[in-house]
Amino acid sequence: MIARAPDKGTEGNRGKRGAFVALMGFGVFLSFFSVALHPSSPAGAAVVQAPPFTTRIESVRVDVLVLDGGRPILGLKPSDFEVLDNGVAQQVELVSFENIPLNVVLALDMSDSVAGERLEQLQDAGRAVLGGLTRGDQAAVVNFSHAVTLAAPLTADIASVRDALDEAWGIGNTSLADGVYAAMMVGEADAGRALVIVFSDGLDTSSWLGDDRVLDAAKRSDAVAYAVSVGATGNSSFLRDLASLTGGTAYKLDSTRDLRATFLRILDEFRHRYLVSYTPHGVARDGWHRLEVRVNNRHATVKARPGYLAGT
Amino acid sequence: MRPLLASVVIVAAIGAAASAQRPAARSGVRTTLATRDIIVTQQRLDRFTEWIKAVHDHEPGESDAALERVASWSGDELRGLWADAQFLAALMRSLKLNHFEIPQARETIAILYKPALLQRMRAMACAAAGHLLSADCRAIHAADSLDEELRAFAADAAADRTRSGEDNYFLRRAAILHADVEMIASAVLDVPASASSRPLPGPRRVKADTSDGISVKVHEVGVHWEIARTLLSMVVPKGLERPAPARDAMVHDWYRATAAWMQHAESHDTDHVNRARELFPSDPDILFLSGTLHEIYASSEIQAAAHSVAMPSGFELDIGSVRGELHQAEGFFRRALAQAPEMAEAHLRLGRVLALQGHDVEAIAELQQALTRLGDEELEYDGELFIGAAYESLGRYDEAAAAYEDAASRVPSAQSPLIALSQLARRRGDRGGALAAMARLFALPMPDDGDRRDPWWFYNTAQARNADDLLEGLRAPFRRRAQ
Repeated sequence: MIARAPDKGTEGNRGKRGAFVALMGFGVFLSFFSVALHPSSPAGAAVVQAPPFTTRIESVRVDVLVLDGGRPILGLKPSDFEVLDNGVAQQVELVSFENIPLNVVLALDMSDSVAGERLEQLQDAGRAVLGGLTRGDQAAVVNFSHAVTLAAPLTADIASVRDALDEAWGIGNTSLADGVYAAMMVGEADAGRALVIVFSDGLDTSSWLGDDRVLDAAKRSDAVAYAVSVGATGNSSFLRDLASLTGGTAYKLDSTRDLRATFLRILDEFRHRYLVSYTPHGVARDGWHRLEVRVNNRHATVKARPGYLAGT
Repeated sequence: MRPLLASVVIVAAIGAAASAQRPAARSGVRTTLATRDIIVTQQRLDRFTEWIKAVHDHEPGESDAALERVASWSGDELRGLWADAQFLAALMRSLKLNHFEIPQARETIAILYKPALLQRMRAMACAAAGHLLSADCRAIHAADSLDEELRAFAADAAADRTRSGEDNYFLRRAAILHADVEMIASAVLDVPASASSRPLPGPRRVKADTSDGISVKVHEVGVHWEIARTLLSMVVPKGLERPAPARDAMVHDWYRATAAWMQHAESHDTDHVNRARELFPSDPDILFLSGTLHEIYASSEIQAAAHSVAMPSGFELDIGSVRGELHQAEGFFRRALAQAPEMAEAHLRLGRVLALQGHDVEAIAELQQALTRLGDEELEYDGELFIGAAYESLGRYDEAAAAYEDAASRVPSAQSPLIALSQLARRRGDRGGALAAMARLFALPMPDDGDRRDPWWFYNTAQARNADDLLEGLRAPFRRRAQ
């Protein structure tokens, strides 16, 4: 409705980016090397660019919870696990249980609706999780309203994380998808086991990222996301899908009074998970890898991510 | 930039009432439908007289006593006013009318005035038309039955009639008053009246307040917009003998300004835009605002709210599926561009809704057209984000990254292009790049220090950023000091 003459061109710096240098992990510990240049596609052509690097999968790691009658089964060894990657049996190389420190990222909805008692109960639940961390564990806080902020970076200085939690207050809209994505990235910034605990009491109203883009990132990540929601958020499929894709659980609460117990339950469950790793063989590199994790010779319930995504 | 709102309002009208908005004054010949009579009381006419004085006293754009008085009236009081105002407008053109009919689905409601009250209505019609000294009005001694305030009103109307050559002074001022009630006083219907088992005939509307995409309150509210629209439907432009609001510049400006205000305030009313388009089907601004309304209706926030809201019986929210709303938005943007091909913002919006429908190649062409014409930094930012997303969907990742970087350079404190860059890098397997983009995001100023802004957060209201200017242009000629 307001029209002014353009004062600058917009095409000048288009199409000049064609190279990426990559040396990185890939959620499930994929690594990539090499540099490539490639021209832009002609305007309007629906051509998917090949990734500007080659990839080599080093290892895949999967957090696995093994339950018998709702209680964790302890003491399992690599030989107890059977892992199928796209239906192909893999050689399980390592099973760790207690020795890998946790990176706990609290992704907290700090929109308008989180105020008063609800805010206090959320802060109390967060403090309870921080209180349950042990030596070597790290924690971070990502707050999201319309803005996404790193209130506390990933650190073993838990007191500073607690301070950040205490200073939080709610204002504005809800960028749930953006906040979840940011939290996953914080969790991935370090080699530890990433547990993302998402809390929200509202529907997404201001994210740039669509749910599908965040779920795509979740498929590429080895972070395990647990989602805790109250109110209408629990009716959204996004948090359920997020938890399902990462091997976590989505909790829908009637009241934030139950937040503390739920957060502690999540931490306890995550501590009892095995970290199973293997180097894929006999499967294509790119695309969706369907995972099946079983425990041999046991009547056990196994909970793990349903797969992972590799390639572009 | 306006403050960030955390809630939106969706307005729904009751189906039967919406169809009764057209004036239906008749001169005493009863229809063949069953007729129910409503006898106007002295109290009702006293309130109507108060209303005429409020129309006269209200200073456009101000929160004054006149506005507060009208804002306090209940739903039934407003419905009575809605009928009486139409009758008054009809009397302005023919003093011989003696009652007013409101057609309903199964019956006709006849609004009847006892002789003494009919005489008062006729006198007020003479005043409203600026005709107090005409032969017909002198014949009924109209001036003798008016108090000082109403005679002052009549004088202003007569002066306006002399100045403009038409008799729409009262209709225009009343429409501005009721729009101001909505925009300034946020009128709410009192509960006892809304709970009436048999409300007076006329329009009814409910508002669904939402927050975070959740319906938090559904309540019946005053029908001020309906009254204003009805009054303007009776405007007779200079040189014509019958109502022709579609040929009136002020009516056009009123619809454009109020429709923009609704989107600016996130108080959405489909009927309002539909009526605007009925009157001005080829107006590019009205078509553009029609498109943006349906684009907003396709948003996750409105869709979620629409699914969570429990509407009272008989009311319809009139919000379709995402697909349906996007399709409608696309159609309106195309119609706007057919009328005004240079309308850069319509290219921008069309590009976005095309991309949301998966037509990325066509979307890029529209967005490129927009980017060469917008000339507005924040809209160009939006355009770069949208074209980046379209490129990304097509797998043209380098161009997507370049567009996101362009957006980031236009608004360095915005988080959306950085999170888009991170996600894109992650998608390409570039975890280092993804983390680097997040590091840039986390280095942005904290939201509460005022230096952090992201035009994307305001995209759903950006199209109406000139609403205040439009309203000022509408109100200025009606201010006392301007007359």
